[in-house]
Order: sequence, then C-alpha cells, then structure tokens
Amino acid sequence: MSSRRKFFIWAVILLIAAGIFFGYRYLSSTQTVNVSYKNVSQIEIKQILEDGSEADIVSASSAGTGQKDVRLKKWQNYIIYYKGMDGYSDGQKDFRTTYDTQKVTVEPYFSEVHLANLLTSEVEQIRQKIKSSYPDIIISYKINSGALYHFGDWYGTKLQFIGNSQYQSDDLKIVLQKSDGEWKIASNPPYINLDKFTYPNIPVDILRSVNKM
Amino acid sequence: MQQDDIQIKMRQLKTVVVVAIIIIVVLALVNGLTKLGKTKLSITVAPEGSKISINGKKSSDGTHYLKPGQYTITASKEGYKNDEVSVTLENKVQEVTLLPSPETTEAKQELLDNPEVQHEREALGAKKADSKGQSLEEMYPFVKLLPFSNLSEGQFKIDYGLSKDRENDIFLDINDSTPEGRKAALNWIQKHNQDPTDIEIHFTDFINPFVYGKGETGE
Repeated sequence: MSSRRKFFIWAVILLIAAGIFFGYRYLSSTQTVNVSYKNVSQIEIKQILEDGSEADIVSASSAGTGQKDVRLKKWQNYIIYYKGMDGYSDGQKDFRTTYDTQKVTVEPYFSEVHLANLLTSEVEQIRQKIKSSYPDIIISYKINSGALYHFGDWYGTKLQFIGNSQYQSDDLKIVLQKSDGEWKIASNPPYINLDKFTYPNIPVDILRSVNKM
Repeated sequence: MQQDDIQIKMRQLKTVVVVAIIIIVVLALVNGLTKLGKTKLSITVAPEGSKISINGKKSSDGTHYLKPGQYTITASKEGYKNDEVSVTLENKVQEVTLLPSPETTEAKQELLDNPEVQHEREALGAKKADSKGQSLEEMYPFVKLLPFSNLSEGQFKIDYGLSKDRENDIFLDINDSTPEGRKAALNWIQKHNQDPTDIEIHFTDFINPFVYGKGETGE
C-alpha cells in the first residue's frame, strides 16, 4: 500500500474519530428541555452567564399555546422572557438545567388591568369573608382595597389599625385564596409580616407584594 | 549477525513501548469514561470503622464518583447514634463529614481510651460547625451585626436564633418594641439587603389581637 494511501486512510479514521468524539461531547454536555407555553405572544430564552450578564438569544419564537424542545447546555442558568397575550401579563422565568431532560412551563398570569377589573366584582365577597371571620376585632381595622393576584384566585391586603390601643396598633397583612368558588383565609391570623416559611402554601411573589403594602 | 541481533532487539523494544503506551492510554480512557458525567463526592467519617451507606446501599468512606442527583449518606457504628446527611450532587465536588456520636457506656469509654480518635472527631466537628457558620453569614450577611438595639425613631431590639424546623437556617426575634419600632425593625432588615418575606420573624412582644382578641373565629 502506498504511503499516500496509508495517510489518506489514517486521516479518514482520525476524522471519523474526531466527529464521534465531538458529537458525543456535544450530546453529553447538552440536554433537551421541553418548553410548554400557554397564552403567550412571544417567548425568548437567554443563557445567564457566570458574571450575571445574558448571552444572546438561544431560542426565540412567536408562541401562542404549544410546546417546543430546545437543546441547552447542562448545569447552566437560563431565563425565559415572555409577552402575554391580551389580558395576560409579561414576565420572566428562571430555570437551571441539570443532567436530565426537564420540562419548563410558561403560563403568564392575568395582567394588572384585568385583575383590577376582576377585583371590582370580588371585593365585597372578600370583605364579608374577613368581617365574618373576625367579627369583633375587625371593627378596629380598616380593610384597605388590596389587590388580586395570579388568575384572580389570590387576594392580599393591609388591615390598617384605626382603634384606640397605643401598644398593639400595628397594621397587619392578610391573604385569601379562592377555591371552589369560595374565598378562604390563607394567612391566619393576620400578621405584621408574612414570611414564606410560616406560609409555605402562599406563593412567595404574593407574600412579597402584600408585605410591601 | 550482531547487527541483525541489535535490529531485532530494537524492534522488540519498540513493540513493547508501543504496547505499553496503548495499555496506558486505554486504561486512562476507561478511567476517564467511568467518571464521565459523574461528580466527585468525598466522605470523611470518625470514628474509623463506621459503616457507610449511600441511599441505603453499603458503601465506604473516601472518594466516590456518582451521577448527579439526590443522595442520603449515613454513618453507623455499634454503640453510636447514626449521623446522616442529604446532599444534592450537581457538577461540583462535594465534601461530606459524618460524626456518629457515642450513646452507650462502652462507646464513650472507647473514646476516652482513644483520645486521638476523640481529637479527630472534635477537629472534624469544629470544621463542620465552622462551615455551617460561614454559610449562615453568606446567607444572611447582617447576622454579624446582631444583636442590635435601636432606641431612636422607633424602639426595637433584634437578635437571631437557629431554626428548629430548618437545618442551617435562622429566625429573627424582634422585642422590646413599640408599633413604630416594629416598622423600624422591618426597615432595618430591608436596609441590610434582606427581604423580610425570606426570613422567619417573631415579633415577641406583639400581642396579636386576632389571636387573643375576643370573639374572632378565623379559619
């Protein structure tokens, strides 16, 4: 066999080996993420780099409702930016890839405008629930207007002290949840600060917002 | 003839060297491939002779290469109370220290009779406690400032304690306070880059009228 032919054969073997090696490295360093989305008009995925900056868009699409598989690097942080359809909010969602296939769901909540409109029809029922739950003590408090959250199934407000006590005149926070068509108190008793450990069943974003009231 | 002998020996030597290199490369590849996609977990235990299990399966101390995921590592020894640690292995090296503590008279006597073992346990225990303390400060940098008292613009005193419900976590205790002081305490916490939503706070001298007031039903 001529040396030229030997060289050619070795070069092909090395190329195939290199292809297998880099292909395996790519597949083993990336994983499939199934992104399912609902009521979004646009979705973008960006990688968050170690210095906190964001890399260029990894995947972008006009959405609606559906799902898409994307191949992303393992053990990396990503952020999904999404725009909600009419009546739904814009937002973002962080996630971290691991070593296995995972599923990420993007489903925007109602917009603030939509929630504010819903509140007008819910507020009386909510106030009645608070008053009936604390019939004697609630007269020392004014129930502020508050806000609805998520899909209009959460409500939070501040109970502003208007009584006479000098020593226990703190304003208190309260959260209610609607289930089976009925409002129920989710944070009993109302308290000065609602923390995520004492109220693990209340979404943290709602606790944060209500604590700022 | 002598020339031929030399050439034969050279060829044999080359063959041996090539075969040795191939064996080394193959061993290195196999070693690398068995660790591919796995994370290093280093287990240290005292006293020696403790039995180690990982997710209920018999194992040993020392270095292991495991696939990423959740693992519960247990150290047990007769006469000692088990020590257990749960870890989530990602793609970073993890170190775990296990220190079964003596329960029976015999176990306690064994440590008294072997002071070097007890010293090792104490050193590892201090290192374990120190790393916990460091991570509390990393989680809540303002704990270095506690206890803190404020006598102006709303009186309050703030201190912290270790949570009984959550390992390696704290709660804040706010007392000696007025209503304005409790607001000021929350502002103080926020001023030190801590969201009050993310920390358990007890307002010790706040008598909640919704709990102690008359006639409330709540839920």
